[in-house]
Amino acid sequence: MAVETLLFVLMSGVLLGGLYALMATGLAVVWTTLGVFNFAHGTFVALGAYIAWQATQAMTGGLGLILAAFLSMIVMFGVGFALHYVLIKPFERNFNLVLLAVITTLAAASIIENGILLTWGPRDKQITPPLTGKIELMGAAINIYDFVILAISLVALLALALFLSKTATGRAMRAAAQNREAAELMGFDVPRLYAMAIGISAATAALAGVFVGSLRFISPTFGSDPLMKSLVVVILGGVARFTSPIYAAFIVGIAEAFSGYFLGLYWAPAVLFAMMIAVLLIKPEGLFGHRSKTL
Amino acid sequence: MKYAPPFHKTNGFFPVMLVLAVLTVLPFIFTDTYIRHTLILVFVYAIIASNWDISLGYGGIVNFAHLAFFAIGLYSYGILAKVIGVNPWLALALAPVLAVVFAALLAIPILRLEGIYVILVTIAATQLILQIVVSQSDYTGGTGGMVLLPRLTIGGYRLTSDGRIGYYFLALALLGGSTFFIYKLERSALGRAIKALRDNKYYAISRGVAEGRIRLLTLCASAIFPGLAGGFYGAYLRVASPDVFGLGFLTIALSILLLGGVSTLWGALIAAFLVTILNQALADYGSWRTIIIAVAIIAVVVIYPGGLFAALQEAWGASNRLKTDLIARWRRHRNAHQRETAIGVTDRLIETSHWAVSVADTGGDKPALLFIHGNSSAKEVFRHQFTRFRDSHRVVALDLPGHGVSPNAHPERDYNVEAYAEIVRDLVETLGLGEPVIFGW
Amino acid sequence: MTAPLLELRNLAGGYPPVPIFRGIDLTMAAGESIGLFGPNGHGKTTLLKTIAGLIDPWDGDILFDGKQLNTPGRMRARTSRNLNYDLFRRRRIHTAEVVEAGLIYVMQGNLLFPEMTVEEVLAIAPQAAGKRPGTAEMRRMVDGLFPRLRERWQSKIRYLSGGERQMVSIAVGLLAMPRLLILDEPTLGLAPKLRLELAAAIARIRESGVPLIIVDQNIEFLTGLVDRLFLFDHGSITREIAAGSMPSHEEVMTMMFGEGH
Repeated sequence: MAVETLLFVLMSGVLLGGLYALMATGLAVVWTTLGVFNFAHGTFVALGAYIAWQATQAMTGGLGLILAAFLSMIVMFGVGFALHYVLIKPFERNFNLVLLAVITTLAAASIIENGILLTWGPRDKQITPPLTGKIELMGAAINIYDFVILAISLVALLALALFLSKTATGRAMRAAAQNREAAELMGFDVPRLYAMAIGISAATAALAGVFVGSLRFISPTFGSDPLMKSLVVVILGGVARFTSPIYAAFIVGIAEAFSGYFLGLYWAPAVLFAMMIAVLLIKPEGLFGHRSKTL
Repeated sequence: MKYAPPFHKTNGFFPVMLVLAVLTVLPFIFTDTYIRHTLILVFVYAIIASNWDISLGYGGIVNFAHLAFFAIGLYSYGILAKVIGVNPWLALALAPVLAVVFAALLAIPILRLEGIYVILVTIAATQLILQIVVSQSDYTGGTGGMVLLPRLTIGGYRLTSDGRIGYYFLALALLGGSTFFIYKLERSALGRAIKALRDNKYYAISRGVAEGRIRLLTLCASAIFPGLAGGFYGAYLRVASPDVFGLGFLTIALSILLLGGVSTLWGALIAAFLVTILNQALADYGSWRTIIIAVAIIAVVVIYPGGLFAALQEAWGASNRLKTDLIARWRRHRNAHQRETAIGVTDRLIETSHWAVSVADTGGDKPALLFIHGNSSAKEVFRHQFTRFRDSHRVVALDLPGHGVSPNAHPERDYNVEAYAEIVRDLVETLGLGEPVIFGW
Repeated sequence: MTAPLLELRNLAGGYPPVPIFRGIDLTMAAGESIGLFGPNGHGKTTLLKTIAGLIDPWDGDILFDGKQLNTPGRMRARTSRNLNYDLFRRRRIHTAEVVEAGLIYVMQGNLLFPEMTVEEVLAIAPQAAGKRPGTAEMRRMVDGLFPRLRERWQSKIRYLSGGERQMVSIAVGLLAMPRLLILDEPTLGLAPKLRLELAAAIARIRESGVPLIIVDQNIEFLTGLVDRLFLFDHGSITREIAAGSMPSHEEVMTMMFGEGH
């Protein structure tokens, strides 16, 4: 077994991990802030990709992609923000909030998926990657663009982390996540903070969608894979700290790369799910977690 | 514990028997195959949805792998009957067995898990099964699925003959069996244990309900008939495709469950009928169909989480109240003369904090006597007291809510001693009785 | 004569469908502080939560500084068990408005925000209430009142002791520039030494001119801090006692529960 091959697999795992980190963090933000599992998250990724694609049809060139990405993120922020008021806020005081939110977000996922199908048709599309060219790293040839994606993902996550820990609004969101009543008594508009949390998660999903859209083909149903991967990551790592899903994302990415290489493409997903079920059985709060779910 | 009389003594007996009779006779009147096909689909969906009530409604276990039971039943039939070559009827009988085995395996990880984790594990399990099915394409046909599954025959008679009437009755029989099973289960000791775990887990455990064992039994019980239905589906449509693991199928099943109301047996059946009809009617609309159904799900869940059946029950209750209200009003009008003669005063309705009550008041400034009648009585029972005391005192008597000619009130809020006391207090204030002498029982 | 600071008229409330309190009539004159005393489970906290805007009142009026905080009128009873009323009904009182008006409620036994540091929480407190922040001045005030918190500024709240958390809660309330501060059982579960510290801090808050409503189980604690005392029993105010004639704890227990308590 050549070392270069192993390194190559490792590298692709790391690059996958960066992408997964971006996707999973959005899901984790919603989970820790609102306490619900957003099943439409995968379709956020897909919708973000399609909006960006549509934007690039109007503008061409590398700059066009950057603008398209920003546009997509802004639009998806709005979508996420609005969806809070429709899908989750009606059950704020309901005992079965989690279950009802699962149902409504699942239904929303259906709507978005079919909406994409109706608007853009079933044929695969791709966002043209702006950068071509490879770089030699330890004997393996990696696309520059992949690195750019990794770098931007990490920067985006860093920006989000700073937002949450340093800015007033970010701190307010954390407060609302940890103790809703106390936050209300301080005067915060908690539903608006929740809506912002979903908006932010949708925006990060959109960015991830843009990346995926430029690496692979996008189709109306391609959102289910990001959803499942984000699911695995969030459960594997837990949500005890902001960095938990990020570490777990890299673990998942590397695991997927290696099992894909050694066991074949068909078995890689099964391995991931098996890992997830194992974690749920042994340490349900995640590998890096402790019992409280907070941000 | 609610009084649960045997089925033939309940309100539901007649409607159910009627529907059963209609369904049995229907295929002979409407010989259109399409109608039969739609009804067969209704029956299948009804089985799936009503059995989901066992784990979700009665057990409180949010099992998102429920559809996998159906899918496993389907693929079991396909693999056993086509690939291995087992007799189709035997394959059909074995399908639920495999589904139950899967349910048992599924139960192990979620034996002690709560809420969202159950959802996640069950979803993961479904995806896992999907991956396995798709990857073992030698047996399962991979993403394309299997076709030309063996059909069911009795002797030489094919069930598809005569416009699929054989399949129709088989499906109806399965639905009947499933409904009977669920009905009996709910009323059995096991059913009570299942519900006890849902309602108050720790109390149930402290009273001897074994959480692990009951959860296992709940899941296995909820897998039997969906597994059978899956096998039947394979024999009927003769196709097994991985679509049954998908979001579209889940959405429909979920919408039936929600529309009918979780934890109601009959609600699921009615909703299965409505949603399947809707689904078939919208078949030409392609993607719009799923969108419409999904929007309907959101609307129901957001506006009326109880579902259709609960809405029907509340509507029934409201109409009952309206009916008795009208009767009370009519009686109030019709017997007015009699009442007046009996106690010598015209009674009138007075508003209190608990609806209005009918009050007879001789009026004046004299010291007040207030008469309160007992259960199931009315103020006219004091007619002799009215005659005797009206010259020396101000005699007041009221009809408690729901008694005499007082309007009906809300059973939980108003038919209790505290409410009666508040009504009397309100009357004392409104009529300005000061400190009356009170008599009653 | 100046208008009363807080006026509760025939206030009724609870958690639908269970009524908790009714017929509450209470007037707080400008500048006075009052105490609320009574056994657990009788509705004091529910009443305070209603005033603070967390729960909708069923009937009656809440007037703060002459301004009506809740929508007047009786709340219509829910006739349907399944209809999602949250969708159609407007809230009858809004916490944000209450806080903005200056009525601040410090909950009892508050877990606050476990993963946030003291500094973070105190930093966002003034803005939440719509007031401008001023960090140095704020730090000075908190340090002055609660010297114990000086070393805890960077600690996460879950590592604070109960007493320290209580101090942070009160500090958060103060940073909102309250015109009326409601403290719900501020010394609950605290060691006697901490209790004294908190009592001293509360006294200083009162001296600085912030009117208080204090709920506590112990009459002696309330004596000296409040001008009037109200006994709360089974969902209504049963007695009003003026400052001069504050009874001892024993006497009040006898008043409420009879001789053989």
